[in-house]
Amino acid sequence: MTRLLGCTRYRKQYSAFRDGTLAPQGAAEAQGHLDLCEKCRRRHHALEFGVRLLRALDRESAEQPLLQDQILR
Amino acid sequence: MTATLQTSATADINSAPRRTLSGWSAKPRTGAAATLSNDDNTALVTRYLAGETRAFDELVRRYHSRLNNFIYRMIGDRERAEDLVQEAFVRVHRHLHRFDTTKKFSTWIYTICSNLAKNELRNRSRSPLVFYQSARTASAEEDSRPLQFEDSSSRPDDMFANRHLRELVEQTVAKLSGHHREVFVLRELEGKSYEEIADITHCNLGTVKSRLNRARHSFAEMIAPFID
Repeated sequence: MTRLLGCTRYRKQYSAFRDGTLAPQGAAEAQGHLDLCEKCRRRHHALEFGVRLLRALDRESAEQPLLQDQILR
Repeated sequence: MTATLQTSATADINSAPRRTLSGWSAKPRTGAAATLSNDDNTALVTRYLAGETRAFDELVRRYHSRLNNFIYRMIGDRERAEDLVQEAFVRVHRHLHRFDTTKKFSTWIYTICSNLAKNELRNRSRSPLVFYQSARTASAEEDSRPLQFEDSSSRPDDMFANRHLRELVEQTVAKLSGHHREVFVLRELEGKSYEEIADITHCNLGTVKSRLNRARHSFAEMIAPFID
């Protein structure tokens, strides 16, 4: 049976949960906490959204020509 | 911009034999250079040390953009980040013969960039004038950055919202403490393993784990109120 996880324990395990390195039981407990706790769920989604956006910005910047190439052109 | 290129890095690049400024840029591969793309980093280092200069160009092509982004996230100044990436490649070029090929090349070059970024931040904190000038440059750059991310057919209020979100996430990363920002960027944006982050930052694994956990929570707590 999956234990109920409080915010404090969930926060301690959060990095492992996000990295997908928690054992199945631990991952189920963390997911169970997210299903119940709106505050932690919102923060988790906010992190995922923010990181996706940052990665997109980095990709966009990588596609721009280098400053030195623009100068030499 | 001309002044920006007058760095010691550029001077070294210009004085390096058989090397031009454009020769170190991350241009798309063409012809024979494309064959190098199958080599791993260690093989490229070996080829370069054996006299195949194109191998160094391939290393630059592989790492230039991601190092530029990494340093930019660390110091918040795109133009200065470009200078420091050039400096990093100069150092790699200068010390490549001493590189231990049993180690990971990416860890080595990220460590060089991490040290350069930390030195930059340290120098800024000692010189308020430099910090002020850098901050002005950074904000001017942001203001004039074209809105290429948005669909041109979007409504103006959507475009404003998109731009606002971009600035929000950039500022949120910048608000993290230096130690937290470094591990956050290396893990979340550069995809480095915990072990590699420990090597790059000269910290033990436990410190990396605890800093990353705190950094993730801080980032999430700061950004959550602005996201539906």
